[in-house]
Amino acid sequence: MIFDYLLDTLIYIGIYAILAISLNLEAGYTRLMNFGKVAFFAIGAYTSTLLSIAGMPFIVGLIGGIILSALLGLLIALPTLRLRADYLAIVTLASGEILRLFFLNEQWLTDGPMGIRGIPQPMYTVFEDNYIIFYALLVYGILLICYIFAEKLINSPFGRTLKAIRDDEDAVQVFGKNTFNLKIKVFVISSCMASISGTLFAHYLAYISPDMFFPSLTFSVWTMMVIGGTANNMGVIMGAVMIQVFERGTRFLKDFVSLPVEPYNLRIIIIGLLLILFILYRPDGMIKEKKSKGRL
Amino acid sequence: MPFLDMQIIINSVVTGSIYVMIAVGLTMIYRVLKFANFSHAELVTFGAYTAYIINVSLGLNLFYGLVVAFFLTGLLGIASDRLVFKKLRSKGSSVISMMIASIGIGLVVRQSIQEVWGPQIRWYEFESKTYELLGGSITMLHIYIIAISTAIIFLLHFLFTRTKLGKAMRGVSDNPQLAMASGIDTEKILLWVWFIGGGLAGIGGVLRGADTRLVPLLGWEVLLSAFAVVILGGIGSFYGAILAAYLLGFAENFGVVLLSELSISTGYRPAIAFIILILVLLLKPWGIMGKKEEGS
Repeated sequence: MIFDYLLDTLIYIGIYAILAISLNLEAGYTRLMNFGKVAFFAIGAYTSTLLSIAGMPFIVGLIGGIILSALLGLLIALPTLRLRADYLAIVTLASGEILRLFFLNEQWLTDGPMGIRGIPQPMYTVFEDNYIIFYALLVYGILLICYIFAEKLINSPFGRTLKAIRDDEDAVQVFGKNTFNLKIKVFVISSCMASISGTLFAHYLAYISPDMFFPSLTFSVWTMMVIGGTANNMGVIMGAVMIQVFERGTRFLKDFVSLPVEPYNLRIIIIGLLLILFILYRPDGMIKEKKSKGRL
Repeated sequence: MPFLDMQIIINSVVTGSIYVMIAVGLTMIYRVLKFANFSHAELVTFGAYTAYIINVSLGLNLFYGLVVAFFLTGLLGIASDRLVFKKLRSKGSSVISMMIASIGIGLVVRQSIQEVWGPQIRWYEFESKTYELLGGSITMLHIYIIAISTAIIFLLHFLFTRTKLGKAMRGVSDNPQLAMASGIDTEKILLWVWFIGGGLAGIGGVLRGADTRLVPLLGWEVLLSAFAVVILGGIGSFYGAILAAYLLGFAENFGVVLLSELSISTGYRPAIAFIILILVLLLKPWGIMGKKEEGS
């Protein structure tokens, strides 16, 4: 039982680490304020769920989610990325909420507030008894790919330009780079990665409903990035470990001790406090950004 | 047009009156401190629940609740500045850090309210008769909402045009450096901006709570509309915000009727503000009465 609990926590950590790495690409390295991360996570979850229920294999659902997320990313990025940084924050936050309303109201497609149960799990019949072990390996395999991809990307000329945009956009434009195009690219790439994480989430739980995709999920991921170390992929993974151990831990604790406060409220309050305290006193997080090697 | 009747106009004026109260503080802070303050939503909610203590817990008239809500929410605005934003300013933190911190404050306040009062729906206690008006119906509550909001708008107009404090506030928001050079104590003026802006958000929360109901998400639900009003009106523009509030009030009330005529779920009401927000960003990102800024 303890073993299953540990594996369960590990799987959650892996899923959120992918989401945190994707946020780090756009927000940590490029300063794109995506306050609607949950939208892309939800697209990944719902698209692959609906495709698998229709009998498609897991991989088709995964790719379907990636394609739709890329499209939504483009749709949001095109009108907003030219404008002030804070407009993106407002628009993405709103997009996440509108998308949740869509999943809630379009009952013919999503069963509305009831959610969708019995989502097929990939290769379930093969690993039946040890399925959770297989799933943990799947999640960590994909996490490893995402981590290596993110590291390669930010150490490439493309990634170094992104960091330069963050530090001084005007200077990058002087060198003749189209910063708007670069920002769109990284926003779309991050959105696709968030979708993968959402797909893994849906097929692990085998059940999704619109109330799993509140904005607080977005801010939980922001907290992982801020406390772990903005613009440091290892840091944000550490952040994902801490926040998930804490989140799973308080859920687990609830079954054994009675707290004077509602654990859900306590969890959100502590996440809010962590955000404030780290921004105030340790804005670089636990692990600082590595100085970049090489030239632009 | 069959559905452009008196009722829509009455409802629009009521909605607009509430939005003005919420948007004034948001737009002032946005202009002066250059960041989108997401915790403004929780000032609204805090005001609503403060009045609940006075009105229901203590059994006094809701008017007393309104006054107390103004003062206490104004003080909460000041507290959020002193405890967090002022420290970030003195460290020279970016607008992005301020927005993340504002999210943190919002989470802490909202979840604390939920911890104290629970997630359940609550109502104020008051009586409100219904009257006929030119083929529509209007309640006594609606008359009060419109009257209170109009009175405050005139007071603010007087403040901004006739008093030294109000002129200094406008000076600070128009050009902080120039204001400082001409001997205005910017930090002192900022305290007033937080107090008045926060207090009005509290009043907006009470009016909204009286018009609908109280839930811990009350402020969060109107945040998108408030941002749409601020951006449509032009960031920092008081008169623009008034005009935009009534325009958005009309768009939402007309839009809801339109949605049901088109047999689309009225659950999409929040999407109306979103669509308007996107249109403004695409067509006139500095709003109807705002100043075009460098870089935008």
